Amino acid sequence: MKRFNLKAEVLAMSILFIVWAFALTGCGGSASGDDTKNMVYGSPESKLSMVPVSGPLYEGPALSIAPEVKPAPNATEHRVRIDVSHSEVLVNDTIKFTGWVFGGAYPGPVLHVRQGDKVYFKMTNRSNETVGISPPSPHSIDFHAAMVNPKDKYREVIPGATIEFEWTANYPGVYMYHCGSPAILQHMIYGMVGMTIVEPKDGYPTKVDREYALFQSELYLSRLKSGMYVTDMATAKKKDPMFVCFNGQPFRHVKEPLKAKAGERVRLYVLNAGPCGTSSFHVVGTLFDRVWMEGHPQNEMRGVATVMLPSSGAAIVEFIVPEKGIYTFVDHEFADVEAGAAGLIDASGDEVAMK
Amino acid sequence: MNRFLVIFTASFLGMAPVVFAGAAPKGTVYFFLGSLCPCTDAHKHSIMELMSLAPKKGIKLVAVFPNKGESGELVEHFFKGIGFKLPYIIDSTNRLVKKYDAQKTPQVFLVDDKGRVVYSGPIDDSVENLGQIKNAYLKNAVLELAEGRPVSVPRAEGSGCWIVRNR
Repeated sequence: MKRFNLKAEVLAMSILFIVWAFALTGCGGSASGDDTKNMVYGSPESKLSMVPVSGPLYEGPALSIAPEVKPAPNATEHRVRIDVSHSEVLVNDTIKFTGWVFGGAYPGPVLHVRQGDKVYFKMTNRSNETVGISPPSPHSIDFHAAMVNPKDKYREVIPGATIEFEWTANYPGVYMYHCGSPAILQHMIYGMVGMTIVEPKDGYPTKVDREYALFQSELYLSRLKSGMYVTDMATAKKKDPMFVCFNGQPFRHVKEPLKAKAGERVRLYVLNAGPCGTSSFHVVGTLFDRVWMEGHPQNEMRGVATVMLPSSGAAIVEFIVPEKGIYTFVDHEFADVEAGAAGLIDASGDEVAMK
Repeated sequence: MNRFLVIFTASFLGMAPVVFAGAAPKGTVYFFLGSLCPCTDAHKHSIMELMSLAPKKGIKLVAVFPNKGESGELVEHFFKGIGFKLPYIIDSTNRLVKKYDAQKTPQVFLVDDKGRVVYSGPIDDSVENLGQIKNAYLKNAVLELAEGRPVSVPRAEGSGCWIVRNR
């Protein structure tokens, strides 16, 4: 009996020691300790107003259009405007459709800030300016990078109205933003999607020669007898896209290859917006030296051939261009390649990166 | 006989008339919809429930497409995408928009057998409640009208797309 109790005591002490050791080293949480102490949860209530606006559909030094990624501005607070408009979206030389977009672009502008930065965001629903294109309708915006009350910040904005709210970029990562008004699927297949990049506070652990944003998304369209192309909820519900795109158009970067040089280290911010499908992102002819799932350097994998991205999921991938050549990037789900999910990185020039 | 034939003379619409036959209706619901407006989708389950319920209660359902640029092809595409179909009118002269002073889509008008509007507004309040219906405005009004009771909520406000009139 006594021997049994001794064993139990030893066992209990061992468990206590393990729990204590885990707590001390931060296992089960962040490797660098509890960084959530510095995070900002929530923000003041959003404001709605009906002040007319004019001028560009997006404004702010933190914004750029993919594949370009402008450096995050050297500031801790960012004033950002991304307006909503209804406008024609060009799919290729012969196909266009009536879209609803952020910042006048499909996909919407890339927002690039740093961890801990505060974003003062403003959005006007300018669908009332284009009644000849599509009936003005309510819209909203949902930043996956933000930690705020969705019922307040992501509420509907009627045509002509402006919403303002602020949020803090707590986690480094690559995140989607999209319209969250019902039916969300419908708003997303009309084009209301975009990317936020939140850089780690002290930068990434690697230095790269080039970086690009790659935004994968599906287009669900159908051709009416009149020849007009319209978005198609029926095929979207069946997850049967007409096109799968990188940066808004099928095979866009086959026609407009991304540039690189042999020997360079390239960083791609890859976001799969969906809205319905997954992506198996792969670059032919190289391996990913670093993969940071969701764009967070602590979620690291190495020597990866293909990265699986769920709908709205993202990763930062880095690779060395091994030698002169043209490198194809694809969604390795090859039905998606047939639908347009392929592009090129042209490193065929004679120039070689100086190291 | 309490049988009759209602014909919405739709010659002004440039399309075949919408014909309803059967028992004299106690009322008619006019659903103002837009084929390019996303807001109807949030109410599709309520509409489909009414498609089953209302005819049994003697209430007719009619969709009205009032926007400039509507076509039969767009409307058919809209119904295919949303997963139900109602008898419809393309209100190209905006006669019905003006008659009921419709402002947005979706917006509904429940009209009794004497032509009086007994309910106008949204189908329900699901948009305001993140998908949860707390007030089934139209369904309640349909039931009250069918049972010969006064409609307890004759008017409500909801969100929607603006109607773009032809003239």
